[in-house]
Amino acid sequence: MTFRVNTLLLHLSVWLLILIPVFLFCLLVQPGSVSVQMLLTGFDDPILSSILWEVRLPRVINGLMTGGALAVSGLVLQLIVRNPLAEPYILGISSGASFGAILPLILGASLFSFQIGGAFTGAVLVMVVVYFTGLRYGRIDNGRLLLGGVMMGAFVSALIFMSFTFLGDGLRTAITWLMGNLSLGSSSVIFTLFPIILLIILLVYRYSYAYNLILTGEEVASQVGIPVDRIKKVSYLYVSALTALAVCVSGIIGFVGLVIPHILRRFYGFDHRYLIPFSFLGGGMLLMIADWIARAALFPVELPVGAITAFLGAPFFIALMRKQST
Amino acid sequence: MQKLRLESSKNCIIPSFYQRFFFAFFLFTLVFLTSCSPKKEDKPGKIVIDAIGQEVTVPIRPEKIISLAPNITEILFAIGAGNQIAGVTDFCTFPDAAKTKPRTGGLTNPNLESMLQLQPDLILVTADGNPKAISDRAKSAGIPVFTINPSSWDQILATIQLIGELTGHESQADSVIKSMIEKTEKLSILPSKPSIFTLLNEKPLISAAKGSFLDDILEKAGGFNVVPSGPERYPVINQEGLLKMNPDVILWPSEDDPDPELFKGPFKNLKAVKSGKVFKVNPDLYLRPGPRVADAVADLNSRLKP
Repeated sequence: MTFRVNTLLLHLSVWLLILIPVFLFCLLVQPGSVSVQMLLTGFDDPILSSILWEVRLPRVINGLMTGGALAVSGLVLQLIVRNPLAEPYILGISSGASFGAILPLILGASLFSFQIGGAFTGAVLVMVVVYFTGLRYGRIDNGRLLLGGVMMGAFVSALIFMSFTFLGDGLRTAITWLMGNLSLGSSSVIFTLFPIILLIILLVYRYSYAYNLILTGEEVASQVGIPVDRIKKVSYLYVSALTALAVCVSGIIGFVGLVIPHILRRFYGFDHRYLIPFSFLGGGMLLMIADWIARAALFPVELPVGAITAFLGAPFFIALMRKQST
Repeated sequence: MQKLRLESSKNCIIPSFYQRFFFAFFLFTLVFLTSCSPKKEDKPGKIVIDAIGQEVTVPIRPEKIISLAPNITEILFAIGAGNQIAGVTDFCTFPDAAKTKPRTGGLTNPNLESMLQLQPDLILVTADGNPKAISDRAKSAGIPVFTINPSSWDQILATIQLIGELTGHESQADSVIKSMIEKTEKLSILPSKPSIFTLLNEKPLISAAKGSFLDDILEKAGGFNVVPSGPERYPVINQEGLLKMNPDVILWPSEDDPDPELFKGPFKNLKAVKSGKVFKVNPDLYLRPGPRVADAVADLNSRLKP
């Protein structure tokens, strides 16, 4: 598909036309709980208004933001390490964040406020170590970066499982963290992080044309004047920051970052000027729907959302792949 | 080249003296090691069927019991079988005498080796607190493992009676049960049945559903559980679910410092929070299905009084 701004805007409006009803549906409909009618007429009731504004709205926005951040980060990562299996968690960032989140639980469960800070610190530490492991003669070496990330991930996971021995009461919280849950972050945190994530994605979007050239070959891209090494380094930092922010509010939600870029490449080819915005919207939508299922299936009991993303995403992708190959 | 290849293939077919020797040595070691495995002796005992339907041959009067859960330890001490305990878990903190007993590790990760070192003649485990692999391995080492699974008030009483029979303290077990029943008979009648939400974990919200023994405690104390029965006895609850159920009382068995943010967000409008009926209670009293649940019932009843 050739790139035209008008085409982008057209597709963007189609996406928004799908996204807005999905958003409203996930926000307003909840089988087993208060009905839509009651919700829309009951603004005076403090319980109803906190259900809408303090429980559901942050959660749906968290789904959009986390799913979007993970999908964009998977998309860019698959490009910079040139590996279709790359996903945001392969570089060990998620393990770092989880360990950072669990550590305050071991030190004392009262330190709730440190959980998000701890997660972010853990993610950044792992990110820095993996970055320097991946450097070779001052450039990012794809193989080294991947292997370094996998090794760091394995090492930190080992720390996590060792720390389980000391957790006691915090074990359920830790496990929930490792399975992902969109209700863990409070509304104030979510509304602060949303603009930050959007900003990082805009920064990533600046490189979308350069990404297209890098995809044709790093040498080719350098010959036409693209600063390939610098873009790879900066992109790595952006991607890590996106993953760290996503993980530190919602825990580890797998699969969105892996499958959404692959699905969208089937529709938009390899033009990142389309892929980046639509990965964000697609990832966000998948996670919103998956989270809706997680909370609606057995209300008031909740299912782990990370299981549902894979449950929905994997068959869809396989069907798509088979349909296109025939 | 040709010669070399021939030689190497020859080596493979006809083993040298050393190869034969090592093969024979290896076989011998294997036979020796397999003959070392422990033989089960037939000790005199009674055959009892435990909570998961297994036949267990228990000694007539077990003298070295390992308890793998705090509620089992409490039951054993309450019926006067404290001196028959050989080992307890790290979490067995009540009564004080339990703290002096040898430790065998945690609930989910008990140390089999330190258990075997105590040479127990009976191991008591819970069905949902201890891993089945540990009891299976202890069983294969020839030690009788008896599983209990008290998940209601009646089952707690039955379990106490059963453990009394196993250890030879039937009469004390009966008097423990009698005093538990007496405690619940002395309760004051509440004017109305308050709805109660048990808060077992804050992030995520975890509660006790209908069908757990906590549910019975709430009923006995004069209230009722707002969480319906579901696939799990201790499910993760949606935040909105708690808001919609809007209980009169939140029962919070926890020793940790409360999260200051917990009741400031969406939960500030809950009936229980507004009327100050969030009861932070001793988790050991409420969460151990043993003799002290009667005290938990009495405690909750007195808190629910208007």
